[in-house]
Amino acid sequence: MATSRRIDVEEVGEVTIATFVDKKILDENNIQQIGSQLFALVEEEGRKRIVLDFSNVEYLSSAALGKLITMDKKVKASGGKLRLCSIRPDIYEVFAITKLNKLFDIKDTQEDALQGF
Amino acid sequence: MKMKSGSAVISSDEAAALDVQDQIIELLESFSFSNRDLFSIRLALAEAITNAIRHGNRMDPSKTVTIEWAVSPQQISVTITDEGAGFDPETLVDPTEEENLDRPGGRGVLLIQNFMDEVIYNDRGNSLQIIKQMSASES
Repeated sequence: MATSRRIDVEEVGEVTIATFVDKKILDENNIQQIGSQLFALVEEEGRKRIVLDFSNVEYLSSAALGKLITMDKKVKASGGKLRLCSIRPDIYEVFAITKLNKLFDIKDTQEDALQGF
Repeated sequence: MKMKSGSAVISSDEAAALDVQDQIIELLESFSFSNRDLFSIRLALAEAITNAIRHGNRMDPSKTVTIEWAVSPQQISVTITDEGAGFDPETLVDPTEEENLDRPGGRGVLLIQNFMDEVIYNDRGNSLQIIKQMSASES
């Protein structure tokens, strides 16, 4: 199966910003690819401080939430920190309903996420 | 505008599921449902069809998922039926409990219930009807 790039990665100082490319993170193939690409940031590239930027994301399913939870565990296990930012209100509601807004460190903007990170 | 209804039978395949979602969303756009409603319905459809494929049919490509919809200017109703043994939604653990928060799965049903106005299971638990009223227009 062809794998395309699902996240854009850039570095600001010691922080890695990973921006989701897709508008819809709904189907299994897509979500598997996103998971592998996120996990590689920690497991292969050893990145410690990671910001996930959701500004392009319009839809997100519960299976995608599962990958984010696993990512959070991997980052913490390696002694790093993960922040989420730029989540639009509809999607923030998904985090609020599932109470995952308590589990994740969520900031309004990328600037806020980089502040004191 | 009158009511419009339709149906699709797909194999246990996520790409086919996305096509049906797109088809239903396109129909809703022609009925002027708000973006907020479209978000809720697409999310609920994605969760319900994914559950039917993964948990109902256990990804068996020889099994199908039937999706039937009826849209009017007031509401949408969609019934999703798989060929699995069915389940009792009452037996699911609450994914919002502190001790379950870091589990990677088990949130689809919760999201469907929150984003839809009505969620009705058949007795066997292999068929789910979801209903959403059109929201008052945001002006």
